[in-house]
Amino acid sequence: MPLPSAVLKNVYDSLRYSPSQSGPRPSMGISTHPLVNALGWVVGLVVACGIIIINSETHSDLAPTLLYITLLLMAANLFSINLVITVALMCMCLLTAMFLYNGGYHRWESTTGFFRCLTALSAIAFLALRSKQASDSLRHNEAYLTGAQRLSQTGSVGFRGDRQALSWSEESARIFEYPPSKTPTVSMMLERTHPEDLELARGVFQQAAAGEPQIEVKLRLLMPDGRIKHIHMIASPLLVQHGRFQYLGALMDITASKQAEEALFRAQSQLAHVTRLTSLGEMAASIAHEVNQPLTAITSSGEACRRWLKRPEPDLGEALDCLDRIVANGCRASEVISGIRALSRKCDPLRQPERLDDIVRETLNLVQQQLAHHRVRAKVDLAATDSQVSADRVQLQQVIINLIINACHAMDGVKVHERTLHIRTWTENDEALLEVTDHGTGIAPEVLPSLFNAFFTTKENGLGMGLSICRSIIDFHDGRIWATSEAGQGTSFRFALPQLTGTALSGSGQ
Amino acid sequence: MTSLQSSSPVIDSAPIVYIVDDDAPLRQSLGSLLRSVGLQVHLFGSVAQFMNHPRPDQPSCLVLDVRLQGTSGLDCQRELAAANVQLPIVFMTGHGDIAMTVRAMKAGAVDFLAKPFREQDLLDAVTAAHQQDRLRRESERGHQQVLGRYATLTPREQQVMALAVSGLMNKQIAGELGLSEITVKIHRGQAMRKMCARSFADLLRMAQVLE
Repeated sequence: MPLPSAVLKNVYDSLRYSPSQSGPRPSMGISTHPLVNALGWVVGLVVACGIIIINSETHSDLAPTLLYITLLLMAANLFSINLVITVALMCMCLLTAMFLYNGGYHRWESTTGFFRCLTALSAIAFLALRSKQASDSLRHNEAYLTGAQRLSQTGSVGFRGDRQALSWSEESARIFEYPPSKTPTVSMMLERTHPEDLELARGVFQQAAAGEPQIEVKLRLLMPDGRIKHIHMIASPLLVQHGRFQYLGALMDITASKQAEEALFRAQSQLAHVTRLTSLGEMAASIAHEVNQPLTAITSSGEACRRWLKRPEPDLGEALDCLDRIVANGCRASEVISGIRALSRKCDPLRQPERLDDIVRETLNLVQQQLAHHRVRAKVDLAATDSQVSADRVQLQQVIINLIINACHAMDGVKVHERTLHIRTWTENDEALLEVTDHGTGIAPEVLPSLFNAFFTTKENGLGMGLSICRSIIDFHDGRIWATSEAGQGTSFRFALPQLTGTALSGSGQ
Repeated sequence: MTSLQSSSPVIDSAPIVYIVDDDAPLRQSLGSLLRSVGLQVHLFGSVAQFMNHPRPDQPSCLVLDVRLQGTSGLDCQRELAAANVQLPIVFMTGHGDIAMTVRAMKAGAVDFLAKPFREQDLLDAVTAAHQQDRLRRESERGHQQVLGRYATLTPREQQVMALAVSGLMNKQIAGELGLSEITVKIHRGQAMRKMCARSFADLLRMAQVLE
């Protein structure tokens, strides 16, 4: 029965179960496609007619058996297993009925011929049913696998180091947003990869060529409409083919979790900012109240004093009382101020001999997340190895974090591959120095002197406290902090702390 | 009781200012300032002290801090209103917000001063408060007077007065009460005299006060 291969493929495709086809399949149809359905029935009718014609014309059982077998195999390919069983039984009954009707049992050869044909038909029916069952369970498993991949947004991908023989699952094709029927190639994958992550993607194939036991990569995809997807792939070699490693990889679409992570990070930093502003506002309000009370007393006493003295008979006693009150309340106001200062000194810094390099290293661990968020690469060059400074570890870390975060903010406007942060330490003239250099747009020379003043800020919603606090901390450590900047080249912040000499070391150790 | 009786030459009939603030130096300064312009001043550290203090019947006002230990200034205002004490209040506060100000002003405060304020602002507010209290007292006194006079009228005179001010003529009143027109005229004249009304319009005004 010659059928155009395209039609066969069509029939096959339409038979494959896919979870997106939610409608129930017609019980007596081959597929949902009416043309294919009709064609199947036409072929069935032709075969049935052939059987009837041959049966009426010839008495040989061989020819109809062949047609029965054809019918059976077609049914096995097209229909459900129950229908195939029915067709097989029907064929056998027909064969037997024709044998009896034709009176073949009168002759010995035709009887043996009938049994031969019946045996062949049952054997083939048995085999057809078995293969039907096997292919059904295979299809079932495939549907499960596809469904699981869709649910977990994880596709599978097979690849080799030589960039040949790439294959992927339907879900992988969906992640890359290619039609599932399209044969995947490496260039198709690279086409959808974010330009900044191309190196990472190429690295995967290099690692595969080297036969790495496990390959793990997180990269971004850039869809033609500008959407960005985050994917995470883990692959390990499955088998060795022609001396090359064939890798099987799990490809996860982690866009949603990545976006949630970023939203959380944004929310956290906003919250931190609001908290800072709120506590500052509350502090200002309570300070204002504490200071306003004595100020009100002073001004009203002053006015009262003037009025007592301006009377026709000046009341000196009352005027003197007023003056006493003015003095007392002046003292009270200054006490409030010193109280606030004492409050701010409540947590006395603890200075101990510390290695500057250790503090810098520890700080870098704390700002990894910030660096990653701003996509900044840090170049670290620590050369103040043996020098020790007398420092409050936490306070110095606060200064370094502040400088690094400022540098990150300064580079927000430049291209990602230019966002390099240079952190270095060295010793010079009994001083340990640290430098944080960014490659941002730089700071205008007229702004440079006011950089460390309180409430001076260039940021839209900055407090202008960061660098001012940095300076007071460095001052407290008997050090210096300064900045140099070249327009368009970036800015360097440096601080220098006095190095501890041997005697000072032993002195502070006691 | 931190009531500070004035040692300076202040006339007893001078308007009184009650100052309630829990900050002693501040209330003393304010007290001195107000005494220097010839006012009687009483100082209190808390609302409870002020509430227990007898208040003489003469023009007075209250200078009240909003934030006090114990009963707050706004609560004090509410308590006074509940006790039907009509005392003008000038509020002052270290850091007031709009909501607080609106609440105080809606409840009838004369003024709301933010510390530190200019002395003239306080003096002006206190003057305005005294003026308000004086006017209220006068109108109240007039009211009492009219009520007293009305009580001296006989029931018949009260009846005639009520009908007269409602716009009826003597003849109609006579018909209404079953009296002769002459008798009505006599009752009406008697009512005018007892109420000290110089004209019918005067009587009409008093009738409105009585309502």
